[in-house]
Amino acid sequence: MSQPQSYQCPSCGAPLPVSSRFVQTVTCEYCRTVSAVTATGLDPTGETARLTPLPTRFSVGASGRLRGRPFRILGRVRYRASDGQWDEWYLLFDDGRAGWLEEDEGMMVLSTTQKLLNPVPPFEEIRVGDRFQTNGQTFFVTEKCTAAVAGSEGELFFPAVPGAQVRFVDGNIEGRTGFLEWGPSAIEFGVGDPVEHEEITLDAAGGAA
Amino acid sequence: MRVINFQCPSCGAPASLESGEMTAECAQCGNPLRRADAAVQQQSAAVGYATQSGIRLGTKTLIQGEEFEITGRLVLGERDEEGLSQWEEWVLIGERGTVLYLELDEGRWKLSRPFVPSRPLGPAELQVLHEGSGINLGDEQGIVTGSGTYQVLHVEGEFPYAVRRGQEHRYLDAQSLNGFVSVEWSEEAVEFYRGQVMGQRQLYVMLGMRDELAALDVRERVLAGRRTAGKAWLGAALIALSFWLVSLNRGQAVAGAGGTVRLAQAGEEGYRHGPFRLNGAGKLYRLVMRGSLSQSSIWVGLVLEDAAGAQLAGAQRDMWDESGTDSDGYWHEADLKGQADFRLEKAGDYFIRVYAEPEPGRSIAPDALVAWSLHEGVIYPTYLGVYGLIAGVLGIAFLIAGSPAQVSSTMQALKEASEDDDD
Repeated sequence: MSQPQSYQCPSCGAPLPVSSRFVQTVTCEYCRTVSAVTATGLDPTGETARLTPLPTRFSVGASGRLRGRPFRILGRVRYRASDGQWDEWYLLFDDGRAGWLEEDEGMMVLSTTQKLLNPVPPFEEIRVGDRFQTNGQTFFVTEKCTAAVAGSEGELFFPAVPGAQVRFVDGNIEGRTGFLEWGPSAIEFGVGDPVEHEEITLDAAGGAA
Repeated sequence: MRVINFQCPSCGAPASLESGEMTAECAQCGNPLRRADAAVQQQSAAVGYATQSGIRLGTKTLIQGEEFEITGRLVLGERDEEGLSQWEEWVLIGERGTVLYLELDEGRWKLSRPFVPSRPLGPAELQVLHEGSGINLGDEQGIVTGSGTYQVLHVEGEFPYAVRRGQEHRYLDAQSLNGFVSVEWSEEAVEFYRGQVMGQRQLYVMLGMRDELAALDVRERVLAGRRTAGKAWLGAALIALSFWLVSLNRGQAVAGAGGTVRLAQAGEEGYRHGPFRLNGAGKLYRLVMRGSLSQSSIWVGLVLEDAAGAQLAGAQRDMWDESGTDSDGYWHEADLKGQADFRLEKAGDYFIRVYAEPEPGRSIAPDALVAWSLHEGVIYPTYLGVYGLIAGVLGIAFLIAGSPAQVSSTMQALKEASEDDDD
């Protein structure tokens, strides 16, 4: 796998090689301690943010095609939850449309934000398995979590303040994926679809894998 | 669990985080606090769980053009009324980030991946489903094969998601048209997976497990040999039982040895019929009698005698024939047949003596008859039947011993053998 990284076991200090950028949990071969890979990210003051260069095929400024549509990566936001982290890439297509590309447990999802046309239940009242309407379609809640912006780079259409708490509800909208994101000032709503790896090609200059 | 003490960077109040916690809130000023000191944090300590499968972490395999590595292994457990059951699950991470899950579930290998169903179900709908229920996720439909709650007992290797020992998840497995579907859920999330069931051989080929494959080849040859032996024994049983059926014949009727006797003729001394000549010394004979009565019940005995009147063999029967009319209309029941087999010691002239005894207080009707006959060369079929049964049992035993279900016990044996090698 590409670009293995090495950490140290926090329990016994033995080297803890991590074979792939997709790894989030690792066990020590020597003392069998189970550790979460979180990477150094943010200092507690929240004043400066620094993204650990996790190996990835994407980078800000890279360009390529997704299902034949040319795109450019404008920015990325890294989120961190209690025991994991993930990146979302902000893509601008040549037709002017924008999208978010997220990699989560082996599934890549491309989402586009939509204007939310109707009220949704408050975050606190939502439970996994709930159903409610979003823009005339049924939003089925599959996951609920609270995360923080760990850092960002490039151009984004909203201010990604490091440390800002973000509350997510992921869902299934009649066979597509959906998300609701309660940010500091607004509720973002997005609808997406899984993307297969081979449906994305990166231009060589853009730093292909 | 380690506790990290520090000061709130905002107000300076003392704060602490346990290892495993990333965020907290300052008790004084409410400032959200996050850990940033460690690249990795301790989650839990693990105890060893030996693998049952021979699958090794680090094994690489090509699946649909993508190279995967087995990076992590979980031992999951479920406690029910039968005790703790355990099974293993491996995570395979592809070079492109695709994640597959490989699970050994009651001897079946299941390879699965997450999917987005067109008709998702939530905890409230999932927890009322039970074994045998139908489940409809839109593009995937199936029959529920099991459900419950599992706990992560053991974590080993690397995972593309956060996992800790002691985590609990509800789960539901279903057999679908294309393979299987499973759903896992907790208060935080519900996840849908689908995949295919694989055979042992398919798995070994996929993971390039040559030693296991060779052992499986040997084992399958042994099993195939047993199946062949089983079929041969069953064939032999079929032949033996066919002969046994054929041999249930009556032999050749002996000319002159037979006739019809009016039962009323048989007094206390009986009625002697004969002589007739029997030449088949050492042969099996069958004495057959058939009565003809009406509205009566008579004990009938036939005895083979030699010329001197010595009684050699006999057949007897309570014969009866009754009929009448009841609410269902006319009825008629009768039992009028009897027979006995014997071996003739020497050729000579013989007689049949017919005895008859009516029910107490009744007399023998004049039209009550018994017809009798002697048949020579009856094949005594018991040994054929016994042989057929033994061959049949052997055949079935070989077929069972040669059935593919025995492979899993073979794997157990292999595993034990490999552990012995390690020692």
